[in-house]
Amino acid sequence: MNTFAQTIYPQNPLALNNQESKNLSLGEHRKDLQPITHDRDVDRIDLIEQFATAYIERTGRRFLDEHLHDVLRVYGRFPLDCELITQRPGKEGFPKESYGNHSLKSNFFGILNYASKNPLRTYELDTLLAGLQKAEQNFENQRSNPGHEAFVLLARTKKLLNEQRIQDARSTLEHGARLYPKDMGIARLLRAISPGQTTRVKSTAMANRNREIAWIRKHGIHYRGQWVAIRNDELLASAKTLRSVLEKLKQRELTDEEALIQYIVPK
Amino acid sequence: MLKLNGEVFTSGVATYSDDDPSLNSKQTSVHVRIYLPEIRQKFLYAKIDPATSWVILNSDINEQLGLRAYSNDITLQTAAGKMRGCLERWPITLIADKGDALKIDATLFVCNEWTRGNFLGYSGFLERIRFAVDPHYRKFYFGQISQKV
Repeated sequence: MNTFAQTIYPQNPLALNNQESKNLSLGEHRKDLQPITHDRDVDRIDLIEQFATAYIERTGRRFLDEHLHDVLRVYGRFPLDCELITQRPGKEGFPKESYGNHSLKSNFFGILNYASKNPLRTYELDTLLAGLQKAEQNFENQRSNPGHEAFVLLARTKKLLNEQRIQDARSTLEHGARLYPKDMGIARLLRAISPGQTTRVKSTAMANRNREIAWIRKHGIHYRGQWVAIRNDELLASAKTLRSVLEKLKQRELTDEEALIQYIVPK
Repeated sequence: MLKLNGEVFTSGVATYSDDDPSLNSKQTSVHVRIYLPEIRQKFLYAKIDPATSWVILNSDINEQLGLRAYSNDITLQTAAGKMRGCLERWPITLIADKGDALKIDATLFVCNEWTRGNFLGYSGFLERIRFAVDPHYRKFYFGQISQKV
């Protein structure tokens, strides 16, 4: 059976041959498979780029962004894996979508940038391509899902939000909530961007911290990169971590309610 | 309290800071104090920024609130480049030196990599209140959109 790369580029000499494909199990890191060091290694980055372009042109689909982002995050620690490319960050719902070819491209470029520093081995490349194929299949599957229209509506809404068309996004979501009242993704996003309530609150519960702020202005420069706990004009504790500061307060039998605790960012 | 055409316009006023003292930055703008009871330090300085959308808090604050971007499918163009995250609703209280504080159901842009300070943007926050700025006295006035005397 041909690999995805071979399917798209049957003539491409960089694609794995059948024997190599048999040695591969998608998503499995085969340490025993020696990285190929001859000429097809040299151009494998080009292959990914070609693949990205062809994929975008061929499918016109835009939902891999999330998965590839995750791949970029974890690739430094783990071998590329189909599951990393296609997994769903959430437990329910549909595969995460992205909203423009540029996003997909930029992720590929991210991979390329990373790969240029840490060249991909051929079997990793094959895994990457297979992962993309799997993601595409997921997309096809969810297209035939009864919830597909809600999925598309949510994707459109996020695109509107990314374009800062907030009112349009709200209107779209409100319409979507009426059409798909059980869709959790729509409900969650609608709640997030809905106006909600504004309530007047008595300020008495909020201590005036002007003296502590004045202390930070005067001395904060000496505590960059640290957490400080201040009460009035007194530094109660300082440490690199919040936990250490809280422990120091506890040792002094002070509560964190008594002090203004603040992180002073490094320069 | 400020009034407009005889009606209450704002119900609280706070003295704002030109800078965020925790950032040790000399960039001047309007920084107001907000109250988040869930975090250890309780109070934060946040920059009023009508040019941006949403409320953005430093990632360490998000962590204390128990918020983490569950997806990266919302993007926001910032001075630090395009950031990715998700949107959540969270109540944020504007602290008043005089008058009443104001608790607002804000829309937070939760980004796991954001460390450049706290921002109160237009969509998701400022659009939900009335506000006025008096630069001479460094006063930030605020109130509900529909005020009742």
